[in-house]
Amino acid sequence: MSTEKDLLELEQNVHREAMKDGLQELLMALMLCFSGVVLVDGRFVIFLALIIVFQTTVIEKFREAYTYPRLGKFKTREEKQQLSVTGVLFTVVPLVILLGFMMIASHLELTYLYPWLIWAPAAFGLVFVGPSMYLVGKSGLRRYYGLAGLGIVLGLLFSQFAFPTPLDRLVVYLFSLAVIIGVVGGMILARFLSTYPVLITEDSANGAQ
Amino acid sequence: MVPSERKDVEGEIDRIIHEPARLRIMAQLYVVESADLLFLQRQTGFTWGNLSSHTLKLEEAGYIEVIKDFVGKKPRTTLKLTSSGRRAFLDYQRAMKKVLGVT
Repeated sequence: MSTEKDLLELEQNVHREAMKDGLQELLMALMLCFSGVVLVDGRFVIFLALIIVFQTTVIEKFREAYTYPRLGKFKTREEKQQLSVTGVLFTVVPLVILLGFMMIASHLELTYLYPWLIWAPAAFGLVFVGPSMYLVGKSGLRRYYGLAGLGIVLGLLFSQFAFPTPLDRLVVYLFSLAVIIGVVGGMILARFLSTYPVLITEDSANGAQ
Repeated sequence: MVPSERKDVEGEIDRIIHEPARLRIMAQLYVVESADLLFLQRQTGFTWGNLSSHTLKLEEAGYIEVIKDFVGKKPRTTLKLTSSGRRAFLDYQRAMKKVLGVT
């Protein structure tokens, strides 16, 4: 129980519990969807900002109503930590550079860059490798490699189709990825709600009296 | 409780933590920031009464902090390791490795 291996297993189990309700997948789908919307019209960036600002509050409200009565409430140790420098360097920075580059190249119609930008969705998929490895390491579940696999395979697939502009290709790619991850998240949530009943504890039973 | 009373004759093994049920609770709390009793009950498989009595002992030893609040009309008990609890758990780990000859 107290060896490093046991503690690692316990920690991975906690992370698996934290992902049981599918909300992470649904949030990721929402972010991808609005990233696509922002690429179409930059003014929608306010909605992306709103999601980022209010995501914690909204998710917490949902979990208070549906997740915690089923699993109990817990906070992982990472939730207290700041976003890691490595995480930002390998995920957020490449994403911002890629999306910014795509928007500038498309809006300024830098057509000589278009042959390179064909591979933008695949490059976007590569960015998912970092978060995927993080999730596998934290939860011990290899299925999270599928996230990077899906991103890369879908990106390569979209590189083979003709689109009016590279930006259109990336937007359709983002929406497709959002739909797939959103459907998976929805299925996980539905399964979670039907599999795990609301538990009545003595704590809550005493309060109801 | 005086710290020395918690240790065995060789002064290495913390008897408060050494009890299997409490060790399970401490280990579970060590890997999270905080957790409520429902979560601990699900993870450990202990009954409500068993869990309550052991967490009370750990609280008395100053190893865990018990926070009681209300969600709507329902009370919720949240537990977290104190810094001395975290240190005691690490000391216990080291002591057990030493006893078992694990490097």
